[in-house]
Amino acid sequence: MMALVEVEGLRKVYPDGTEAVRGIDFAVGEGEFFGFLGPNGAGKSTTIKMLVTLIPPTEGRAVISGFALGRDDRRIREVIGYAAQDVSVDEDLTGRENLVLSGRLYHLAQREALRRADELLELVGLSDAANRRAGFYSGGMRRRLDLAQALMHRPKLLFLDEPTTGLDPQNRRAMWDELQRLNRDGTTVFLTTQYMEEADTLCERLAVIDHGMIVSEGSPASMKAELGGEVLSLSFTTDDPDMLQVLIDRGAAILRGIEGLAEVREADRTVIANMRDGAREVLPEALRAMEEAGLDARIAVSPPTLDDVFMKITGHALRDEEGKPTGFSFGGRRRVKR
Amino acid sequence: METLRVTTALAVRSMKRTIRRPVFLVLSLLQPLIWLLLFSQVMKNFGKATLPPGMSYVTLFAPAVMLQTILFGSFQSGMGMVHDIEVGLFDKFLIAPINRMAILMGRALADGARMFVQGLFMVLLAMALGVRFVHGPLGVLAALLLAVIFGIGLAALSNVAALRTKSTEATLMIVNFFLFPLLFLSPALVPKDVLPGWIATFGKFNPVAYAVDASRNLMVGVVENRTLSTAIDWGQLGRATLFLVGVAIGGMTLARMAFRKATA
Repeated sequence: MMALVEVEGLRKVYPDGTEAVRGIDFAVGEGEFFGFLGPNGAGKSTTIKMLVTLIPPTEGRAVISGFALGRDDRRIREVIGYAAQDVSVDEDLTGRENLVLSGRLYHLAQREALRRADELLELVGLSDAANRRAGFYSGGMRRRLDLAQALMHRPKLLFLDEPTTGLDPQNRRAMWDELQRLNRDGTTVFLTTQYMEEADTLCERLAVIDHGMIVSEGSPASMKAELGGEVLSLSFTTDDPDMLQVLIDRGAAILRGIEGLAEVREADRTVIANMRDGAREVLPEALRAMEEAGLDARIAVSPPTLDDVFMKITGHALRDEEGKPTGFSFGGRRRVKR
Repeated sequence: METLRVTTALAVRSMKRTIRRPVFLVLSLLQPLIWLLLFSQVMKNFGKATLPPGMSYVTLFAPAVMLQTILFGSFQSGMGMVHDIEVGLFDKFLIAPINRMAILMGRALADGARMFVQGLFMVLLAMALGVRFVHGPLGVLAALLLAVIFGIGLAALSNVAALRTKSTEATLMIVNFFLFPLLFLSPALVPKDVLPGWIATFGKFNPVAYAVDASRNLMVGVVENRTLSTAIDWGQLGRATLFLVGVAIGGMTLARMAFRKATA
């Protein structure tokens, strides 16, 4: 497999001193579906903005489709498509006009642009809305139009920055299908996400990124396998936060006393532990210990998720870190409502 | 050639936005309309005392209002730029494999067309109010074009403000801050000879003063010391053209620099 993207020691320090990306290396093979998984503020958007030539790296180098970032930017722009985290469509243009404009920006002739626009409108299910202004589109429709814009020039490499953030489950599912189909048809996809389910479903390979560094890399399956067996979790029904903390502490203490469990930790109102042995041995013991202590907890056993992987590597949950602002390229992007 | 096509596509896109959001266009005409109607009443008697016999104040004021409409229309350009930055369209243009100057040029082209229409509207209004244009349609056209060239320079400067501040409010304030004094320190409202000496002197450095004089020169004739001359003052016109083209080139150069800095 040839590498379509090769990144070495990429680093970004913003003028305010924030080091958003702290020297990362990775490669994306041709035809691959590659993902960056990480919480808000991990450096995902900053990385993507460097790779799509929007902001210059502070250090490091990247080669995209054989072109050096910073030297052959225009050639890079020709082969990539990019859909930003925040949808950007021109609300005063119709869906079709938005697409045709994108086509013109990629040097398609007017007729070719129109043809391709109709093809894509059909593909993303916007044919009926083609002549309506994008300002009247719903959030999901805008996302689809935005994606279609990125596809106008048939890029061989597609950068998607959190393409399903803000979508409802149904639209998210549809977007996943769409992206998988694109990838099957030969488009290499580089996607960032903060949803482990998304990374799990879509990505053949992913890099887990946290605080501007890649902390793990591999296929979702291999990452989960590395974690070992299944995961045991304790949850409690109380609403009183003080009480809950007491219960969590007691629960954690009890689990730590059990031979077959490892890496006992607290996460999101629950206590989690990795099971070294099978459930058959550990579960009865855990139940007995709870009973003896008189602790009223719900016990569940589940296969490990990427969330657990993330927790294990970084020591914190994927979604519990409240976002520092993500890197921005050109001014903050504030959504303007008319 | 490729750049020209992209420039045109971006210009057409900007024009579509203007047409489909007519409220801005209407508002931009409303203010000068009120100026024209109010001032011609307020200054009626003043006009009788200071203008050549038989010349109405509306006639003196109309070319200035045409100019004013275009100048105040110019900073819709910077506001449009801020909008594009805010919604992320600017980034979309930046990652396209195009000569990035097409982004600025496309905007300038659309601005020019819009300002021309805004100015033309005021010309038609003046005609309806009985203003006679002594050099006919050609004179009016020349005056409009000169005003638009000046307007493109100011539009470029509003883009500098936009690229620097990325804020609609700031862009508006910066342009207002400069434009209003320049307008009042020009012979827009009264004939030159009525202005205090220091304002007349300052007029030598005030592009708005050059533009006001040129518009009058080309549309209704040169007014000085209660006399009206309907011969074109070519010297004044030449100086004004040089000065205003200079502003346009200077503005575009600064915009280009601000653009490069912002996207480096």
